[in-house]
Amino acid sequence: MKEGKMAAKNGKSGLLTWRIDDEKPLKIDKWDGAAVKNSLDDAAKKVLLEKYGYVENFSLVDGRLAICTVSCLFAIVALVWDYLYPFPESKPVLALCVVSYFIMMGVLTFYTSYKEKSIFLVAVQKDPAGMDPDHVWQLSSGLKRFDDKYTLRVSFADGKSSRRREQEFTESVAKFFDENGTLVMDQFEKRVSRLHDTLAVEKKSK
Amino acid sequence: MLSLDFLDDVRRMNKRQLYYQVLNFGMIVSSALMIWKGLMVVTGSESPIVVVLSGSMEPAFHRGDLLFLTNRVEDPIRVGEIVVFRIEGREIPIVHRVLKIHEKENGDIKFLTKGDNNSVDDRGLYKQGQHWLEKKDVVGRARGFVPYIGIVTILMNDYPKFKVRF
Repeated sequence: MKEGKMAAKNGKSGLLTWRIDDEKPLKIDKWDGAAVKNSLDDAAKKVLLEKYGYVENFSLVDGRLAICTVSCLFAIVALVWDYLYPFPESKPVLALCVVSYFIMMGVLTFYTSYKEKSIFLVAVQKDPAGMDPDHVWQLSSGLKRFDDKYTLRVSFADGKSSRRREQEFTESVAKFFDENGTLVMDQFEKRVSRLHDTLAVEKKSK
Repeated sequence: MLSLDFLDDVRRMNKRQLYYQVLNFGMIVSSALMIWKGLMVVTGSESPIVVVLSGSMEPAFHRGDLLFLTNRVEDPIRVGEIVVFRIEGREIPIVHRVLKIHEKENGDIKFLTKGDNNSVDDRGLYKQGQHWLEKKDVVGRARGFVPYIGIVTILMNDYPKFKVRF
């Protein structure tokens, strides 16, 4: 317990714009796999966005939101049409909406499985000189059910050469959470930064 | 000091995540709705699944049985078939067997129904002055059934307190 608080305090010393201390330290149920993964993902996002100052790109998430919205629209249209023109007359419109809805479901499954995969952050590193196209960083992660091994994958796509490089680490979540389920940001941030810097250095050396 | 962790969660969510949660809920509701409408289109009946509410069809159907209906134009109604119909002005559907049919050449029919477990035909149930039922009163013809599952609906109707509690 005490170590957790002390670790959080130490985190302040290294970085200037580190905001985590302003908020309540993240505390979740350490046995809830989904909550653990979510909080680790959020923390990794924080590192990339706040420490390195990248800008989040929402197009992947927006794509998914758009597909869901369209599906719901089909359902709403079917509902309203059936209400205004009672059943037998509304059959063709209903049939169209139902078929469209299930097609959209298929599109959504396809999108989340192949396009989105397990990517939870797409961030853009703007070129300081403003001349070259932006570099794109992607974060994806995995945490199997009832397993404690968390895998974080960082992928870097060079703006100019469009070359992709990927690095990942797999650690037990016990390394980043204390007994109460509070995330030890200091430890996690160190690990994520190490992963990021490995990629950044390799990029430069090419 | 009341610290509402749930509100903290919501505050931590940004606009997009909040919208996604709303959408998630909407998708669940939409899926159920689309399956129901899909059944309506496939069977041709405006209420493809009904619960038997009375014991007037025993021993064939008991209170609480779930019935699957179809209402296709190509299948004509014949004597001896079990139909679910609504009487004009009433919203509760009735499940009874067809007793007599008068059929015109162009396909229009007038038919009389009676519950297997009743001693008289349904003329007493029809509207004032109505002696026969027509195709437009039919919700569908019984095609299959699952016993007992519909008891939940009956409980909710008979004891509205249960409904309110939820």
